[in-house]
Amino acid sequence: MIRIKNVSLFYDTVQGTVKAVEDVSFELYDGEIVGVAGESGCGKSTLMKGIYGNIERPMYLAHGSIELEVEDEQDGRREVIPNSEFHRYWWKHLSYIPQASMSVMNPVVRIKDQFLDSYSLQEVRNYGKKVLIDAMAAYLQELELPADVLNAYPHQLSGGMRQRVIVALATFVQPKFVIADEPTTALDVVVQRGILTMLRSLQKKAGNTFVMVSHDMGVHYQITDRMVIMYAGKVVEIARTDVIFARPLHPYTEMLIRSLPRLGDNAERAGITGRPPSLLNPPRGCRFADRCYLADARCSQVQPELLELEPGHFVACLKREPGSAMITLEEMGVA
Amino acid sequence: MQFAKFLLSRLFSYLLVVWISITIVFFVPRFIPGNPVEAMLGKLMSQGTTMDPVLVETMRKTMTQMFGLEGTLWEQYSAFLKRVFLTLDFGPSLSYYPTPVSLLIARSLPWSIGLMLTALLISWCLGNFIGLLAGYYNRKTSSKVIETTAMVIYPIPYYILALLLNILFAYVWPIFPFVFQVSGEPGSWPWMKSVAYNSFLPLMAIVTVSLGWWIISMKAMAIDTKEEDFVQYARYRGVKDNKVMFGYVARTAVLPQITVLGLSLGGVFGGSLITEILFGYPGVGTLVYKAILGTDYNLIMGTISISIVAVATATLILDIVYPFIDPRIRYK
Amino acid sequence: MRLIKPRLVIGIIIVGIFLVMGLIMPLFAPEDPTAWNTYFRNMPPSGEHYMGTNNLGQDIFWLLTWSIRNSLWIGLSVAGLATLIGVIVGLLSGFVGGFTDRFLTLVMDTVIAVPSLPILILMSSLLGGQTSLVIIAGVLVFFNWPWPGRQARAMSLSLREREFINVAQASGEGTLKIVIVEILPFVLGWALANFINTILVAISAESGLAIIGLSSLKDATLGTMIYWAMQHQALLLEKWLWILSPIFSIMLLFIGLFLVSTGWSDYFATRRGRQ
Repeated sequence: MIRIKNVSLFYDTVQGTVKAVEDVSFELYDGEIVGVAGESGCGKSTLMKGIYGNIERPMYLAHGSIELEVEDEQDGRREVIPNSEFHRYWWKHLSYIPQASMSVMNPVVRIKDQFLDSYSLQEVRNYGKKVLIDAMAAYLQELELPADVLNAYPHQLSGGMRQRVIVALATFVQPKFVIADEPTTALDVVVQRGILTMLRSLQKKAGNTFVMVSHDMGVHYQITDRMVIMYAGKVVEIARTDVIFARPLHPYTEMLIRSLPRLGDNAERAGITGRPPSLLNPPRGCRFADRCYLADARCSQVQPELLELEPGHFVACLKREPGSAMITLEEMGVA
Repeated sequence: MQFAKFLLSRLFSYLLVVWISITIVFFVPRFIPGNPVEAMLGKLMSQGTTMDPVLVETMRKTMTQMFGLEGTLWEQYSAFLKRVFLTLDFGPSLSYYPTPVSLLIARSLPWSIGLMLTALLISWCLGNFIGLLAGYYNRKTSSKVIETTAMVIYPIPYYILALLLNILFAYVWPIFPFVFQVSGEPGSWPWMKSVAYNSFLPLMAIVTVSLGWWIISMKAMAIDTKEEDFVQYARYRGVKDNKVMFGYVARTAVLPQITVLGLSLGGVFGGSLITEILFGYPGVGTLVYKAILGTDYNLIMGTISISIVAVATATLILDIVYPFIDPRIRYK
Repeated sequence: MRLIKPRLVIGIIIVGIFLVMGLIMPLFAPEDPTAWNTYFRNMPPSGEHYMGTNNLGQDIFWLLTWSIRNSLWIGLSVAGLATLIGVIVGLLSGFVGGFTDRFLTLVMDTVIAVPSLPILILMSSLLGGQTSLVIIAGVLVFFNWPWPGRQARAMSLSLREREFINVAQASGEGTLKIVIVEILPFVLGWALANFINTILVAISAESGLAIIGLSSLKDATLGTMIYWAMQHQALLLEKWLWILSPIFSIMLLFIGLFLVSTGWSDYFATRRGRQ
């Protein structure tokens, strides 16, 4: 499990301090696929960097903590690892799948050598080069990928194939947590589907946890179990995926769902007017207030807290708090 | 086909540059007041001996021929071009009469090449290595210290440092000789030790100043390469710092440094020329100097021409070899 | 203000000191420092002779200031002329384009590739120590104008496409006016770094020649000062100030010039980047 407690991640820039992520708390449990959704700039990538344990100047952890709790397979002992030590577990307990791109692999080194590079010299000596490569080749075949990609250079593979190989490399070590930051963005829809299917079957087989970051709600709908919705550096809603799509409670989430095309529904898609606030000087109250159909004067003054309104369903909205009348867009006659 | 086009255009610029340089070399003495033959004769006659006019006339004719000043301008020019590009025969040297100029050059050139090559090799490898470390760990204070040191060293001209080293380590603290004197049978071990001992200071001068440049440029390259996606992701993939630095950053950052090496050849050559003179190192530099002191016309023309052609050729070779080294071009 | 790095400041201070030493101090020299036997020979440093005198009876300190002055003149004039010619040719070449551009580029690339030192050595050796500084400076200008030339041309090419040129042209301003008002300040900013570098190159070339006796030996430059010191056995006689002061002056001056050049490039680039 990964525990994220009141985490704030800021950037030191020439113009001032950018509060990219502010006071975020939630947990990532074992054996689930969690989706983190929100528009560009909402802080999801920064948060992922933080969760992965890659916090480097000019970014810093202003307050809060991120902990990884692992259970030793043999003696059942629980160990809590602080964020500052995460890097020791990269490609062991944690792995990372980046956005599909030509430039994430070393252009002048073969795939199999880049695979071996993840192991220390000592480990390679212990296991044996051939043993490792054979194991990887077998794993690739399990995933229905040709084993001879190992001998290729990155630019010799197509975009989709390359991303699949990267997924294979990231999951080969059976890490407990895999963070995938926009893994299907920039790929065409068919390839996208293939990779999403691949990710889901990998997760089912290994029983580990995947964190899927995407601004594309469709991606979340296809494979995530639970979703975290972020806006302007804060978490606004957390719930099971089917609940998010059927009964979104936060106005922002509602708008996000509403913007998705649905089969049979030919009405014009509504976008959301306005833009997210500046993170240099975030507003005092709710950050969505100026774009929100429910907002009133109090919303701009008071910071909403993330409350569990239903079991497993967290919302940060003053207007949805117990006691306030629950009005949905439908009831308002907007939908 | 791409390479053939590149080769052709590169050859064309090479030939153009060399031709223009040699033409300039040809015309410089002809635009300067005074005739080297008369100057030579004047020098001889002022040494007191009155000479038989017939003898003087014969000498005048011989020297005119020796200096390549016979015939019309066009005849002289074409003869000169032939000499530089084909026969490499610049006639006999005056100071070392009758040794031919080409022989003198052939004897000194290996010394110069040895010095420059050694200096370049040491400074390029060491400089790039230090620059890589300074760039990869650029947040550490030691990196900033290294960069500052390099910035202080780099602007110093080679010959100034050479002079300083000479003063410090040959005069003030006489550790090294201030006159180049090699002893022993050429090729023997004592001879090699003697060469190394005598060459140390001139080598140090060139190496130290060149280091400055390689450190600064490699550090900048390393910092840029460090930001590349694949380097960042390599770290994410658990690749250890050493491997990332050498296998990922260095491999990519070092390639442009090879191109820069080619560009630096001209500057290094000029600097080492004067350095050789200051130390009396038996290379082309000292030969040029002796030629100047002795107003040895043929030797001057010969050494200057050969130097220009040598540097241009070295740069050409490096430019042509580079595409074979860069794997990004190789594996297209 | 935050953008001005210490590097630039230190460089400016160093260069400033040399400018004072070279351009202002010489006006106060009591006698012509190059004349021999003006003072008692081999005097140690004192209140009257800040660096003592050498065995030619010259005051070392004032000789140094004159040498700095002459070296600076060479540097500044070569750099000034070379940058002027280079910028004009480069801008023209880039802006006009076509065959003119191709021809001028070929000229620039060729001149850069011709090694200047061997030719300077050739020329000076044949003139036998009578080479005037003007001739040396002229040759240096010839070899150095392509550097600012290429830079100006590259900028001219990229600026041709830029938005604000198109806007200016659309509003009907003449080509020359566009070049002067819009492009020139930008180009000059970059040209300054080149200018300073050329000062360095010019002084370095002349000093290099002087040290081996190939410059205008009757003039006092930093290089000739070293030459004469060596010729008059300054080392054996341990007249350190005589020979070391010009050596350290060259080192310090060059470090200062280099710091200003890179410091300015950094500053100018960051300033530009923020616009």
